[in-house]
Amino acid sequence: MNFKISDCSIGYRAGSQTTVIASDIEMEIRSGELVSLIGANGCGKSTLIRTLAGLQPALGGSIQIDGCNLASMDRKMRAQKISVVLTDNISVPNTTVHDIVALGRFPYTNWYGTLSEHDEEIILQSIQTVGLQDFAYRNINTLSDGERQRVMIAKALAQDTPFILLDEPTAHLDVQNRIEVMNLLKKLTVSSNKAILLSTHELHLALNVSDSVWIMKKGQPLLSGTPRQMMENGEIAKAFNLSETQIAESFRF
Amino acid sequence: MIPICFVCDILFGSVHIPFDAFVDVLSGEGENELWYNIITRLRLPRAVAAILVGTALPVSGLLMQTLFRNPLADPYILGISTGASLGVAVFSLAGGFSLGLFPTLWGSLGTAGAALIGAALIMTVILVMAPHIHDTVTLLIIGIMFGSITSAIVNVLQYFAHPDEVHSFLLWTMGSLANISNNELAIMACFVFPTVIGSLLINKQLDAILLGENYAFSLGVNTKMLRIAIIVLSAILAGIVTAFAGPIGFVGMTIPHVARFLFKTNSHKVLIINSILIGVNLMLICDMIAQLPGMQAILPINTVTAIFGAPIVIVVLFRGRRNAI
Repeated sequence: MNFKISDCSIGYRAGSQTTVIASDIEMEIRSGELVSLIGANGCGKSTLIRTLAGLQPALGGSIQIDGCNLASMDRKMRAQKISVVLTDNISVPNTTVHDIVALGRFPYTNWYGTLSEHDEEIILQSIQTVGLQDFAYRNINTLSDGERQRVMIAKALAQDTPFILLDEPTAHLDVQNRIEVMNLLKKLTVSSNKAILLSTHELHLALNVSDSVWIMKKGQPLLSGTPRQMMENGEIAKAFNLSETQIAESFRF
Repeated sequence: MIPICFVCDILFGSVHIPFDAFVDVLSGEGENELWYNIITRLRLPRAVAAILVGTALPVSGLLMQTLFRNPLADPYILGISTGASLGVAVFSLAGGFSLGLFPTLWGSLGTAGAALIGAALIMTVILVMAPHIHDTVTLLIIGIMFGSITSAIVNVLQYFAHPDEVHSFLLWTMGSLANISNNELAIMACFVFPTVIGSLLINKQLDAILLGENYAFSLGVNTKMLRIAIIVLSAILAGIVTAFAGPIGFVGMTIPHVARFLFKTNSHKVLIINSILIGVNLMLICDMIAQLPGMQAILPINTVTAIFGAPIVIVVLFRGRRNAI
C-alpha cells in the first residue's frame, strides 16, 4: 500500500473565493508507517486530514492510493481503503460499542446491513484489539472519553482499511489514555502493517513512537523527516516559534 | 395486535355493532342495512385511514429525527404541514368555501389537492436549497423559517376571512380521519407504502448517518443523495397525510421514541418496522377514543393524539437529560 500526495494544495472554496491553506504538498506514506502531523493551532492539520479522507476536495494536485486517484475513486472502494477517526462528538442513545464498531463493516455488507459470521468475527476482534472486550455491549453514553476514542479506533479497524487517518486522537484524554492510544496505534502499524497518519499536539509522544513526522507551518511547505532529524535540525522549534533552547528545556527530564 | 385494534375500532362507536354482524357484513350476508352502511361507509374507511396515518407519520418522524439527529424533530419540521395548510387556507379561505364547494366531494378533493400543492411547494424549495447548505442545523432553521412565513400568511388570510370560513379551516387543522373516500384512501396507500419500502431500503445508510455526515461519508455513504432521499421520503409521507387527514401532531414525533425505548436500539430496520406497528395500533386506539360509545360527537383526532402524545414527550425530555440523541 502506498499513499501518495503530489503537488497538492488544500483549502476552502466558498463561491468564487478560494482560501489556500497549504500548497505544493509532496508526501508519501507506506504500509507499516506511523506518521505524526504536528504544527501550531490553525495551521491546517485538520484541513489536510479532511482532504486526505476525501471529506473535502483538494484545490489542486493529486492524492493517490496505489495509483488510484482519490477524487475519482468509487465510494465503496474508498471506504475500503481509508478509515477515519475524527474529533466529531458521537452521542447516539441506545447504542452499544458493538453497534458502532459494526458500522465499520458498512462497505462490506449488503443493502440490508446483514452481518455475516466473518463480519462478527472482525468486529469482536477489533473491540478486543482496543481492549474494550468487557464493554462490547455497554451503551456508549456510559463510556469515558478515552474509551469512546478507542471505540472509534475499533470502528476504523473493523473497516479493515490499509490506511487510517486520525484527527487529534489524543485530545481530551488524560496522560494514561494518551499513551495507551499512541502505543495502540504504533502496535497496529507493526502487527497489521497498516499505514497511520495522525495529527497531534503531543510532541513528546509523537516524537517517541512515530516513524516520521510531518511539520506544518502556515504559509510554508510541509516538511517531513524522522523525529530525530527534525529535532536535530531545529524544525520542531521553528514550527511552534520557539527557540531551540526552549524546546531542549521542555524535553529535558 | 393490529387486527384486534382494527376490529375493535370498527365495532365501537356511538352505534354499537356486534361482532357477528361485522363478520356478516364482510362476508356480504348482512341483513341490517344500517349496520352495513355504518361499517362500509364510515367505520371501515376511518380504520383504514388510521392505519395509513399510523404507518406514515412515525416513519416520517423517524427520518427527520435521524436527519437532524434531534429527538424533537417531527414530520412537519421542514414546514411541510404549514405549506399544506397554506394551500388549504388559500383554497378554503380565499375561494372554496365562498363558492359553496365545501363539504361537497369537490370541496374535499380540492382541499386535499391544495394541501398537496402547498406541501410539494415547500418540499421543492427545501430541496433546491438543501445541496447548497453544508450543515443540517442551517437546514433545520430554514425549515422553521418557512413554517413561520407560511403560517404568517395563513394568519393574514384568516384575519380577512369570514368567521364561518375560519371555523371550517380551524376544523381542518384539528385533523380528522373521517370523510376520506375510498378513492382518496387508495391514493394515500399508493404514496405511503412505496415510500415506507423506500425508507427500509436505505436503513443501512440511516444507521450510518447517526455517526454524523463526516463519518457516514467515510463509510461510503453518498451523504448528499441520502439527505435528499430522506427529505423526499419524509415530505411525501407528511404531505399525503396532511392533505387528506389534516396536520395530525405528536404521532410522528413520539412513536419513534416509544420504539427506541421498547427495543433499546437505533437500528433503523427495527425502528421503522416497529414504529409502524406501534403507530398503527396507537392511531386505531386514538380513533376509538375519539368516537367512544355514548358520545354524541366525534372528537378531532389531534386532540386525542395530543392528550396521549404530550405525556410521552414529557417522559422523553426527562430521560433525555441523561440520554440525549
